[in-house]
Amino acid sequence: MFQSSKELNTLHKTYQIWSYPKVHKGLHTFFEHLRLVQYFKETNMASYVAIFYLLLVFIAIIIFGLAYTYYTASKRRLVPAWPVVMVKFMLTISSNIFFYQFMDYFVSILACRTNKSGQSVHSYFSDQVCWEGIHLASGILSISTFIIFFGISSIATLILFEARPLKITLMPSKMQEH
Amino acid sequence: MIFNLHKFVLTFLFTFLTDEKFQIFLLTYLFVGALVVFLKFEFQNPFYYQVIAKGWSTMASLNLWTVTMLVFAKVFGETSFKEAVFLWIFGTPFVIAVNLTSEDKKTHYFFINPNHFSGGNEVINHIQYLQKLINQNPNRVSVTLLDGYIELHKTHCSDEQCPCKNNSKSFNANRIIYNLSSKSSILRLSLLSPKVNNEDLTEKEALLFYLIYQLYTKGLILFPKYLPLRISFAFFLLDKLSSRRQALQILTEAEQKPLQLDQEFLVFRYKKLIEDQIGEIQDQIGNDMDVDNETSFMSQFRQFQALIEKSSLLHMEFWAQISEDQPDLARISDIGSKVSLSIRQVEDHWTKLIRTNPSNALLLRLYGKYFIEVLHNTTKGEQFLSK
Repeated sequence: MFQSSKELNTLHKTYQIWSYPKVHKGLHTFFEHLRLVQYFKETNMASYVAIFYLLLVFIAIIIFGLAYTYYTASKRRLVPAWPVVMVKFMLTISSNIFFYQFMDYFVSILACRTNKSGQSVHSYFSDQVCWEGIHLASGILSISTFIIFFGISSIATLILFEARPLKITLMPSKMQEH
Repeated sequence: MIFNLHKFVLTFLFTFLTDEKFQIFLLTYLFVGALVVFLKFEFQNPFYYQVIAKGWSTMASLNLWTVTMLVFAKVFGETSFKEAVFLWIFGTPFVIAVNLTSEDKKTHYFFINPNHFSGGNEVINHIQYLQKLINQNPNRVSVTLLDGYIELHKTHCSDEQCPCKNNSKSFNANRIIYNLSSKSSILRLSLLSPKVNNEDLTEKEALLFYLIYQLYTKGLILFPKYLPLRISFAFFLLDKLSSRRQALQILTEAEQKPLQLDQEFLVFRYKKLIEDQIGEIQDQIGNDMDVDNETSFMSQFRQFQALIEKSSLLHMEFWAQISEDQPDLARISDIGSKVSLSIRQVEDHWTKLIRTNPSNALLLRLYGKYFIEVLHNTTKGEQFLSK
């Protein structure tokens, strides 16, 4: 249904194509609640960016967990079960349930528009000039993060949804021990 | 994967193409994307589990329905018809209901005559449904379907050696799988794998595995360019016959052909996992053996297996003659001498092999089982197994 929500709520109000305000506005409001950015765009730039950094930490934990698992497995040491389980859980939810929400939030950082005075400002916070100060750092981080996040999600999708259950016997034996 | 890519592109388009003039382009992309996703889920049927498949299929249909109605609203909204949103609301429960109540699509493929497949996709779906019936808890429907399938196969089977046509009691589960394994020298080792040698494997299951194997080989001859069939065959060899080497060979063949990104990833990943596992097994087989010795050992081991098979068959023939009402003594004497000769040959070969590699678990296991199941010398057999 996230897909449908995308069709119903956009910055330039594609949902208005339905041409029946009494109904489409209600649907629009309902589907807007599926977007994470919806809950923070009415606050202020600081809160909005703070949530962005929280998401970054979430992605960083996944990357760290993957690197740790790879390192311990390549050294053929015993891998404790909990980091693997935690990373798998985080990957599953971020690449499926919250994929759109995360991606939408990262990309929304880059959404700018031109105001009446011809200045490029953020779409949600008109007092924030684009590509200056906090927006410059956040923008660069946002671009790198959504590229990395898309890469990780794609690999996770290919591993977790390959149209057949994973045979545990194919796992390296050191990992099976836990 | 394709759905995530679609969402990724959509997020960008909707964030940056905010101008009204891009609306037509956005609608076109939405429609094409939704159609591709729908076709992917509906016809390629990538999910093994029916519930998941239905869920995704429903979502893809709903997505296409919504986009179609949006396009409809755009086309007619500017003229007279402005109630497309009601049409969407009214149609949504129907789209969901049609998807959820539709019968398993693979059932249709299951009833296709194996000699009349028109595409690799049909072979895969046919086999998947067959495997689903084998794996599920036996109930009246599945048992009847499987029995009927075997009976039907008897009429289609052109191979004289086909186990379906052989009603002899000697064709037990392991025997069928052994015959299957004997088709390829690489597959011979699979007889010793715990899964195939599992005593819980019934004759019917083994027979069905044989039929599936035949379906795959026939399918690969008919549709050599259909790569999902090749990949699916590799998984069957891995899962059901535990034949890592042949699975690896099939995956290597698949790798030579142009693959889609997800297929390439799958092939790469499983090749790596199988290679690692074969490496581990070879470490267990003998730490002291170098590569040349190992190759020669494997070849001798296969000869040893063949001798054991020959000896077992002679034993069976010998006992069959004895159990007859009027045994032919001359024939019994003839077979008896052949049995003694075969036992001596097995022993000689065993002495040679055990000298090369005294601690080989596969060798000890095979010889132990030979003592228990063929020679009925449980004490000695268990001694070898305990080693």
